[in-house]
Amino acid sequence: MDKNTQSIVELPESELERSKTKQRTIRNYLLSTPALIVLMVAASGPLLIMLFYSFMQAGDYGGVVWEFSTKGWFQVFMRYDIFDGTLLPADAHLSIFWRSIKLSVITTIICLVLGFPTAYFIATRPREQRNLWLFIVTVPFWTNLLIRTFALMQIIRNNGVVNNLLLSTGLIDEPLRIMYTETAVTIGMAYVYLPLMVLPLYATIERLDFKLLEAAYDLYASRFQVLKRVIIPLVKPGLIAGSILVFIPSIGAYVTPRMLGGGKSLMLGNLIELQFGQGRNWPLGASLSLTLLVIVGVAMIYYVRSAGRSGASYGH
Amino acid sequence: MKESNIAIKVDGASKVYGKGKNAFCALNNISLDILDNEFFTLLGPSGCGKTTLLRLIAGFENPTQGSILLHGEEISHLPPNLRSVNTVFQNYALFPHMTVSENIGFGLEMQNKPKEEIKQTVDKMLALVHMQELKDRRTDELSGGQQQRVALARALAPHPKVLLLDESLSALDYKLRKEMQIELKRLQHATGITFIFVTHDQEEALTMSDRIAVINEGKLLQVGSPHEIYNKPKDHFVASFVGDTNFLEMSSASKSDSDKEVILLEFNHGQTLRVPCEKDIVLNDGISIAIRPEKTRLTENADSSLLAGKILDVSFFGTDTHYTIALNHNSDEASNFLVRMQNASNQGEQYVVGDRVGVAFSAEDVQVIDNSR
Repeated sequence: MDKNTQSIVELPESELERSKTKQRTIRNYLLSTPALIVLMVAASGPLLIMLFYSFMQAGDYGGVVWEFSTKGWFQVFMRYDIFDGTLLPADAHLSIFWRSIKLSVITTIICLVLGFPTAYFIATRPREQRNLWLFIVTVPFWTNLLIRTFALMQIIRNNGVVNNLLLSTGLIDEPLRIMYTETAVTIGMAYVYLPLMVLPLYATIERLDFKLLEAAYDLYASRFQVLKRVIIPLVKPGLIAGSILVFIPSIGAYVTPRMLGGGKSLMLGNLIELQFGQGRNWPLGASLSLTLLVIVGVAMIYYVRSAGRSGASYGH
Repeated sequence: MKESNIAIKVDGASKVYGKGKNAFCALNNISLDILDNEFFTLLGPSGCGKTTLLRLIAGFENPTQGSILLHGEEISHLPPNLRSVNTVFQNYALFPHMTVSENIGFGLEMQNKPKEEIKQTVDKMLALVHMQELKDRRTDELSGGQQQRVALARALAPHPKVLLLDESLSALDYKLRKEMQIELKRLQHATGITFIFVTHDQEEALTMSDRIAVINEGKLLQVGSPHEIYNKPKDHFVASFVGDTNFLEMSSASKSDSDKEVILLEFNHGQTLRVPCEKDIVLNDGISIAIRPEKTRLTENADSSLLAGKILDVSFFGTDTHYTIALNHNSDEASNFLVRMQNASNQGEQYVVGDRVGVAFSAEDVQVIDNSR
């Protein structure tokens, strides 16, 4: 039997087979061409322009002057003192970088903590009810982000719903200052991006074989151990996807920090917008954009790697 | 049957799903004693409630009524992780993100056993199910039979008092199933653990079990040894579900005058048989009797036999031959009579289709079925 299989394996591919395979490959390329073109033009094009701009000189009234300069990149990290001209780190920029990363990580964690039970709840409903619950989760997407953020402002502002409620029950004596703080930005982002966590999590939890949970429970695992040793390792692909989907828009968020954070809680998105707008420093804006891209890239590689190490090998 | 010998006592357990109009009674007042170190089988067609009973014992469901005792201790309120009962699931439910060894060690790890002890027990279990070479494989790289072995080892590793097996062999092909049947018996003897095995396969139940409980539509019909279940079925369903059976409706039956536990059955040409029966049997509606096909034989003399008819079909099965007989008094084709005879050496083809033959059997092979039950 061994001899037979070997001789079959060693048979050269026939001319007909080869031409068929080739045809199929060409056909698949052709079918994906439109999507590839859109991606190339819409994603790579602007990126290349940004890369180009970041090495130009800033024009006096915006735009760029066609002269090579590394000033944009320099300004991302360093600045000269206005008075004595000493070289200093660009601490304003760095603190905005730090804030963006910090708030995005917190937002991702909040979304994980809130999104996981929600997704689990939906996935364990009877099949015919699940679509209704998913539908409810996506309802916020129907409304414009601006309007939703305004609505949130009505809830958390000094004489908003939350404060009025707390004041009337006597739990607090003076209104909580939430608006125009980092807390407000975090609440806003968690609210906006929560569905992006719930949906991929739901997709993996729904495919989870619940017999495995029974098996673990049967083998003396407590409810917490079932969660830690069986559920989380098995839904890790969903956890990773959800975290990425929340973290990336959070770190580049623009509308939410602009409206809820005020002047003191600027994030990267606002800083970049400033450079292209009032700041009239397009090379700096372009350099900041690319720095953001690098941060996201590094964070994602690190996250996927470390999550993968702790047992996300399942999921194919 | 001493109380101390009882591993699992099911006491009046019922399980009702849903409420009001949609209520469905999956188990109806089941009482059952399963002995220590016994290979006990719950046998019934799919949807009969046998798996529900298993889930009650495992702790995945709570009984609507009644209680379950493990070695005399009430366990129906305990969650599965606090019961010394492990399950081998129908599709094994092996953890796909763990290796074979990690799967087997999982229960011990959850019990916070020391690492060294876990390793030793896992090695012992791997040897017990002959899986040493594959201990570092992921479970989705294993064949069905190998997965079955890992599932068994995983459930046996914490040395539970009772092992539950939920249709565990049904996913395997015929040859592997036969092998695993022997393997399971061996494991049960080697470990001395009480096995409760759920199956819809009557042949599997008969070959493997010390005792069998036949369940249908949520009711417990009969508990007994394979011999009792096969030879003395108390119930129409038990007789028809376990093995092939000929049923005959007897309109002319009467109780013996001298003995309450004997019934007189009248056959062709006024021949009678005295057949043992239960004392409290009711004769109002007539009764049925059940006769196993292999306990009957054909005779050439149609007129002096208990039953007579014409051969409709002959099937040769190597070791034996099956004859389908259309009985004279019976025009209904559905109740053809089946006769199974061993092929003696050099016998040749004795009876052919169309022959008029008699059917003979002896009184002790006739089982009286109480229709009022």
